Amino acid sequence: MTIRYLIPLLVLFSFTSSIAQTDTAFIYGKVLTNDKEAVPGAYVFLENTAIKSITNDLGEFQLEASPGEYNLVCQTIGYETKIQSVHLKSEQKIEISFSVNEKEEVLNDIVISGNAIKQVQESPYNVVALDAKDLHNSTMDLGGMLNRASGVKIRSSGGVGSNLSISLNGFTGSRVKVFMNGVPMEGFGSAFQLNNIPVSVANRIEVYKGVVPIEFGSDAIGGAINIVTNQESNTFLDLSYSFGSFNTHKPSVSAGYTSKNGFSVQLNAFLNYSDNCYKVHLDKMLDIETGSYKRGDYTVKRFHDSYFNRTIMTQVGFVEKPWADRFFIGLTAGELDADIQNASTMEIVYGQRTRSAKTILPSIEYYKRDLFIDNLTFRLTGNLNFNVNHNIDTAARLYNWYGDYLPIKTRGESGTNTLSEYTNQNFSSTANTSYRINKHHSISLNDVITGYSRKVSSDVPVEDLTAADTMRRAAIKNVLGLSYVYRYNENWNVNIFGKHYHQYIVGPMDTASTGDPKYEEQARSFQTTGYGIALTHFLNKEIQLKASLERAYRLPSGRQLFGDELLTSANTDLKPENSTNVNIGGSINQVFSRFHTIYIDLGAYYRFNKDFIRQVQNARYGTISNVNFGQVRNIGVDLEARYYYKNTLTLGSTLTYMDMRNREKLRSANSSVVDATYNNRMPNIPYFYGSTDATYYKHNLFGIGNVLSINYTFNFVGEFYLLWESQGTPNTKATLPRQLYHDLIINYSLKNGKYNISLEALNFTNAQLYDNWSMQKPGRSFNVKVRYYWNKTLNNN
Amino acid sequence: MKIKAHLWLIPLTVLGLVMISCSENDNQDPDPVEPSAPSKYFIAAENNDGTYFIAVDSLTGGITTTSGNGIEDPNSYTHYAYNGTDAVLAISYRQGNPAVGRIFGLDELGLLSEIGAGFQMTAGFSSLGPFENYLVATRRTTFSDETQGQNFYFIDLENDAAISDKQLATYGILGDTLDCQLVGVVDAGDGTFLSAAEVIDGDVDDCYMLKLDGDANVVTVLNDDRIGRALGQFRSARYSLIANDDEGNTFVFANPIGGTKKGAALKINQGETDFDDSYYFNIQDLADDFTFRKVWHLTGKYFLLEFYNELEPSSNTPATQYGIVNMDTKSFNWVTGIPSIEDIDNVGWPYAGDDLVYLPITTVDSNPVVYVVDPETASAYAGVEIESATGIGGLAKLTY
Repeated sequence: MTIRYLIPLLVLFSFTSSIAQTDTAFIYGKVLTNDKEAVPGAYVFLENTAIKSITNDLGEFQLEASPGEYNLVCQTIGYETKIQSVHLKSEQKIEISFSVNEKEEVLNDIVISGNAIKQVQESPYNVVALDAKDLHNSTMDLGGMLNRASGVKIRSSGGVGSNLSISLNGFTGSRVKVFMNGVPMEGFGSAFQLNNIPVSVANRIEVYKGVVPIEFGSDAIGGAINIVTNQESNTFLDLSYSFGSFNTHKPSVSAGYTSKNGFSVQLNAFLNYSDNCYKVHLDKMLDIETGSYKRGDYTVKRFHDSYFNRTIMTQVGFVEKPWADRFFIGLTAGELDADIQNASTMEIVYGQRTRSAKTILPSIEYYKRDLFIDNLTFRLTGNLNFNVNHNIDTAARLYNWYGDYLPIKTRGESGTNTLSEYTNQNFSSTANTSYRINKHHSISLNDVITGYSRKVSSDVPVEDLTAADTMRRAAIKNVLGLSYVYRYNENWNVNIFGKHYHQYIVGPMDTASTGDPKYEEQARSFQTTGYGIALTHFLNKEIQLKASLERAYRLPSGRQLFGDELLTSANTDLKPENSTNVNIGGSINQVFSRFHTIYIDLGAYYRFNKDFIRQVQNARYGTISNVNFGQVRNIGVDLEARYYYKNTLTLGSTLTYMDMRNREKLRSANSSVVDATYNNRMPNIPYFYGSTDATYYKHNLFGIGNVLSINYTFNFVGEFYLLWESQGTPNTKATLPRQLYHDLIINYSLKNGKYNISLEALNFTNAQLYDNWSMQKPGRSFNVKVRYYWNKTLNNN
Repeated sequence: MKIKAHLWLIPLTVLGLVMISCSENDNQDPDPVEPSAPSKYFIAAENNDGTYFIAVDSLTGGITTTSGNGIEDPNSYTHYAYNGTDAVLAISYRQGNPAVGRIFGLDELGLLSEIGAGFQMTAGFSSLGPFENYLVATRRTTFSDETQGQNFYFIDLENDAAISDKQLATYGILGDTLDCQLVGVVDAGDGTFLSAAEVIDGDVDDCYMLKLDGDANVVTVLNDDRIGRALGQFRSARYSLIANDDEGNTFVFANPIGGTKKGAALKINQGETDFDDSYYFNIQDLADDFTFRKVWHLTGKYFLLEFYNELEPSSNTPATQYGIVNMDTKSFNWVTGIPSIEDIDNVGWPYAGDDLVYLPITTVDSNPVVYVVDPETASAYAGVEIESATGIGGLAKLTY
């Protein structure tokens, strides 16, 4: 459930407290300013529980909870957070009011906690914030959680640990950037990515569609996704273990300790293992004796697809010190070992091919409000990433999908004997300074510098490499952003920003005009400037309107510029891709008759992407080059609607529809021939998808503080074509069929969330699912997860 | 659908990169006594990442399209080979993956359809050619004992494209410390086949040919220094420069980049174990000093050569100009009537049939067009045009 859903739910809680359960205690009160003015919209919640409320126009709130010791927290934008411990007894009614002081607001601070999600949502950007905490009892990884956001489609090629690709409003690949706490994740390596990090590591996920704040200093023309990990400095222990179908096991531990003097240690460690031995359906089978395929209907189990990874994340530092509000040194280390079951289509099956990777990521973070002068906030992060990847393909065997094999005389199931190692070092550093001039004006300056250095970065096995491939490839990219926020009043604010991109790339380039290629190290630099504006208006307490626009750029990569001497030709004349992104939207959050709440968020967008950096393949030679060519226009809507009845039932839907079309009239940059695919829908991009879910909560089942929840989700993805829609005889087209699937999750939490057990039945109708052409995903699966959560402050009773 | 067994029993005149679909008598017998089998032409049209397989009645004119037409396949095929006019094999060499192929033919109604479900060649291939009832695909690779050598796949065209494989340890064949890789396959007509050898890190100005038996054992090593190594080159790819005429004599062409020998051809007479000392054909001098990298046999003594576009090419210079040689008269003609090299965007595998050469060419400002070339005059005219496509991969003639 996203926090969006929570907002009305919280409101609901504030109105449903009269439905008292015996043994339940009540807290009610007001949130007022020092001037005794009511503070509406403030969050009041019991720390480390799901019990929350939002103050009404009179600043009033009301909560109900089981007896016990709690910390009652009051948070609202622009005011200091207040915490008060309370001891609730059975059927007790306590009045607690907060008097809050206005604080110097930290604008655009991307690492904020507590009411952060509300703050993110109320920003003028087209952004969805997903609350990860609501899914901590599930077995999901971050990719699975992201798939629940409107406008986002996560496409998976298989089971646990399989490749994921993100489609955000139709943008894919490197056009969408993923960050963790504002740090680009692209350099983190395969051992630490969306397909293996459990949801429990995250506090929330923010999805910025099309228009991206300067804090994410990146050439992300399609949008940005930011995973915010748990930044709370308290003392807690979170242990979980899940197991399920296909011999899948996922233990994890999360712990934090913060002393009174501000010393803080945090640890996250997790492990994923799965055999991924799910059944797949095939229409042909290789006869290993003859090398020919035989038609038929075959159902077989995947037999060489095990995946194992383990990762540990640690942070040590200080909080709330005079010299730093946060100062942490961190180290993340991860490794993975995985079998490779098939090639990019399931036609080709492997039985011995494997890959492995190791990642080490040291990091540093410094954050200080009121640095030197009041209202000046500074944040600095730095990351170094060391990755090593191995690919092993040395077997002299020919396999088929039955797992049968024939010893053969040649090595390498992929056709080439491979025992390769690729190393990759990269870094990123972000410096952000913001200054609140007064109540109406703020400015923020952000600089992100990223870079990499690689030696062998080709996918081609080492034995096929020549001198040029072992030459240095390096790049440094700097994105400097400046934004200005004008807050006319509480109901209006506007954010204007500019971004300057600069890139310096070094790589080997073929300089020979005759004879054999001669490679020498060459350098290129690029710079360009983008800009944008975002504004929002609150018509009233229930209705918010938003509009935003960005002229965004994506710079070409080193390989796109310099190519390699094997498959990709150089093109040093490449220009950055650019896109004009426009969003408009609005949301309604309305309570009816005390018990009924609806929430609707509707966003419409327009994208016009030019100078696409596109791979042009020469089928005859098998070579690839990159050119700037193509225009794509996308118009779409994302809808999210939700209904709540008391605190016992929620119904909701998300729906995405987009019309993304090729708007390039000509076949190629220097051709006068009209492209037959002009105005065709862009191929291989899902354009109509959504989900509907219902959750029923039974509170205090078999004891105070226990909650049983039953969640059912129906998901669908409309049919789409792998290739251009106009081409080919209709009944022969490569189609990704419509997908309909159903998930059921039952969770029982005891003692206010101290003990939890979840049962999941995913895709329980056993539908055949494909996100990618011919790559079948798992069928029906069952998982059980047990979780223990202890918090020193709360002590969970 | 299953292939009809009798199709495979028709005597094979297979050809991969080389084509032979008509007998030597064709030229002399313009009035067939028996009615010929109905036929259609196969076009592998390409549009971006997809291939669209189309059957048309003629290649010499008309218009067809890939819009709403053609069997869609989300793969690109790099080679087309033939089992006479019974079937065409589309084969995809994908670096880093096993090569896969599909076979197409015409059903009883003359509709284009896939025969069988395709085949896989794990170790891939870099060149292929005909040998007896096989299509032989070969490539240098690493063996199970970690030595390197040449792998051969024998695709049995009489047995539902069943594949067997043979290996040849190449180190030392051409000399104690020399290793080599083989490029191109032609049938020597005596139970053996010929392949050109590239000495690894060796002299490009020397021509070696290996004669191998059906188990890939070396029968004879042929050597001649009148020409250089007999293979074409584009980046790391290698192309066959050997082809047979209708009598089964093998012509060996050579024009290596970085070599000093003229681009020329030698002859190995059928059944012989050495080059014909009396035969040498200097083609480069007749071709305005341009050099070539690919060859296809057309009909009789005519062969088509694909030339680099520049006088001093590198290994990644495009090659989109064509000439036809008569190996008997040692004459040469540039192919005329096709677009200029400045206008050509891409070209496909030529196909020889009906005593003509069909040459697919796409220019920057036109749809892909099959040019029809008369081997005797080397003059061409525009044949069938394929609207909506971005290129033509290959062509074939199919009967049913």
